[in-house]
Amino acid sequence: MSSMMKNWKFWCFAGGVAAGIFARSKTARKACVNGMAKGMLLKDSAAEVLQNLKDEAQDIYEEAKAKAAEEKESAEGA
Amino acid sequence: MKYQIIYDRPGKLRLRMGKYAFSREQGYGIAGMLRRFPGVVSATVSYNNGGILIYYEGSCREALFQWVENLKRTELPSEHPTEDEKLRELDETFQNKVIGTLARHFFLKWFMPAPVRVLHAAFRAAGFMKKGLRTLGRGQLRVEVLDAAAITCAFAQRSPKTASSIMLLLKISEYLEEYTRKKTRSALAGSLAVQVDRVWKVTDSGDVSVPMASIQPGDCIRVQAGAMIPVDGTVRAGEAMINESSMTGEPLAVRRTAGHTVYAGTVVEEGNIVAEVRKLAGKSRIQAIVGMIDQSEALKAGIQGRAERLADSIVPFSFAASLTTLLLTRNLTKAMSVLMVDYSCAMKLSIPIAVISAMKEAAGRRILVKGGKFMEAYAQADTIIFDKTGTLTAAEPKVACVIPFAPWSRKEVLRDAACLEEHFPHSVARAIVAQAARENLKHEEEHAKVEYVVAHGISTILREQRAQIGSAHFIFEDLGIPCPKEAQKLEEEKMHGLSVIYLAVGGRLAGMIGIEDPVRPEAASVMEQLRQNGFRHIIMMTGDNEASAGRACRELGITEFQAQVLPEDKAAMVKKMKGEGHTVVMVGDGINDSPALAAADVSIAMKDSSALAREVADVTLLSENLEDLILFRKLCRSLMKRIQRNYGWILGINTSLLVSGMAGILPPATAALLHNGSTMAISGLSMRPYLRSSGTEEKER
Repeated sequence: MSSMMKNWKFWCFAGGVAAGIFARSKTARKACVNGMAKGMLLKDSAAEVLQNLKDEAQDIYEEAKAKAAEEKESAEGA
Repeated sequence: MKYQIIYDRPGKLRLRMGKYAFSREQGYGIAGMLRRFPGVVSATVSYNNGGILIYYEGSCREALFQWVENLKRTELPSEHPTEDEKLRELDETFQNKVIGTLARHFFLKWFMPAPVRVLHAAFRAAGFMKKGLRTLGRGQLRVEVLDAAAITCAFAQRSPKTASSIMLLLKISEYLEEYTRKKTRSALAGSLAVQVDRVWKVTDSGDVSVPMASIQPGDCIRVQAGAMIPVDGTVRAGEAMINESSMTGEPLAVRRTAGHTVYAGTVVEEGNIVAEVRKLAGKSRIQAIVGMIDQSEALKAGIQGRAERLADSIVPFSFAASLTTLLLTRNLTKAMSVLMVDYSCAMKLSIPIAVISAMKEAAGRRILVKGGKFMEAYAQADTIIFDKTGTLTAAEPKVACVIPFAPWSRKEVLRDAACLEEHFPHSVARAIVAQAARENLKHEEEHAKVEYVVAHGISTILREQRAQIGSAHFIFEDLGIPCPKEAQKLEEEKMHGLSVIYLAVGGRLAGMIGIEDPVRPEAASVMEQLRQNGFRHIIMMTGDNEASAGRACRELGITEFQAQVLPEDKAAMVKKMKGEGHTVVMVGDGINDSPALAAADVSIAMKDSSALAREVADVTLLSENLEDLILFRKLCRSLMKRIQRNYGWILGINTSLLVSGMAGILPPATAALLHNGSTMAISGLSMRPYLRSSGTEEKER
């Protein structure tokens, strides 16, 4: 018995059986659903952050372009 | 609705309402409404963060703030996306997919323990194995099998890291391929449209010409011979022979009567119908056309089809090379490097992209092409046959003179002629109607049902008398109307060199109308350029008289022509030239050109052609300028050169990668990276413009 307990393959088997029993329970289902919902919210938040970054980067870029164009015009005018 | 001001400078405003402020469709609706707001130049809305970007002119800033504040969450409009919005969404989807895939890969690589990484790699590999096994199960040895074999070898070598890298590259290639195909197809779809501006709406007070945009389901519209049916509907009255080749591929016209369904984009060849509108033609037909162009084997350039078949046939040789390497070197790594390199990906991706890019560039220059095979044929063509009226001559012929015969007066002849001609799309008919309008000759719908005899004329009952209008052949030979002695003399004196239309009423010649049909200003120069660009035979064929045809040919420098020909004669000439081994282009605009257009290797219709000619033709020139024939020739030849060059690059690069892999110089992951990188580079370069804005060819790098 003690040699069996030291065998990692026994623990893999036991873990698999426990996971199988757990997976059919209502608790597991609820955990999965909540997990997926949180994942989807996380994805939307990531998309929002990414879009915010892109928008602000675009504004900075356009402002820099406009400023460069103005400086070039005033240099040519001078 | 509440918002934050992110950017506020004169002319540009960026507001943000946060995620879940509105849905994607509501975002399109808000953008659509903003674009219609006075002073707004452009508006872009993003539903990810509730962002609104507005470029505006003038002093509408305060009004814009007020408008946005007054938006109610429960009353937000929804619209379909514009073509620009669809392209933008496509870009965003692609970027998000690539960023997501790379983020997952490096997150796992840097932060997850090895057992998790191995499990994840095995899970992803299962998808590739499934594809490979499914392909093998169909008895095919294609690139999916190569990929599955390479990944299996990586796992067999206990190198899940290599397998992961390979799968990452394959996934990104797949996204890039999908993105490139969708983008070029979307851009092509945006360039195509069913253009029917006005229709005849049947009302209680008769037929009324109205803009297409005002038609609603339930309305009844009349469609005459030669016109395209602009909507899906049910025939309520009349009967017609309808060419449905654009829907069914069936080249012969089918008879449709009351109760039958008719479809948008099909063409009435003979007769006329009143159709009740069931569904307005939307973008779905354009998408169907683009899908057909992209997928149809019959429309693919021959060179494209050959490349795809060659690509598939090379895969077994890649396997053989890999197996040979393994047997000779006993080195699985070298064999895997060979597996990572194949010719088929690059051929199957870069050549269709080159063809679709060429079609898209043609569309951008207002040349609509229905398939790559027509571009290939046009690049090789050595014979071009032109119709005269409306093709080589200006789209707006004019009435030069009207000769009445007693007891009819000049005004009566012109008025009755306009009454008969007003429903028909031919350029000569439009000239007569326009002249009557200029002289304020009112012609209410006095005639009964009009019978249109293709390439001959029109026959109807007018004020209880039989009335016909048409060519000399139709009036004097087919109908047997006697020709007064003075008619020939008057025609020679006053109508020499003009196209003559004859009006007969009650079995007598009522009058003659001389149509001045000047050649297009650019036509002579275009004929010369066609010769310089490889067209050895330039032929003009016309139903017009010999004098008028001869005069046009002398002006244009055309030495081969035939006058007073019937539609079947034009088609016979096309077949004769094809039979002699020439590749023939036919350029025409009328219903009478349709048989010749259908027989040619490449058929080209002008913008103001009859709907049937445009439907039958493989290419339509929308800008009404014959110079586009030269532009198109240069574009087609440039496409062929690019495809040949792509072949060379693909063979050269991939062969050197193969040899390097066999020699052990390149590990599998590097070989995969270089192979996929070169495929993407060749495909990306295939999307470059073919012609400079001046119309000259871009130098190929």
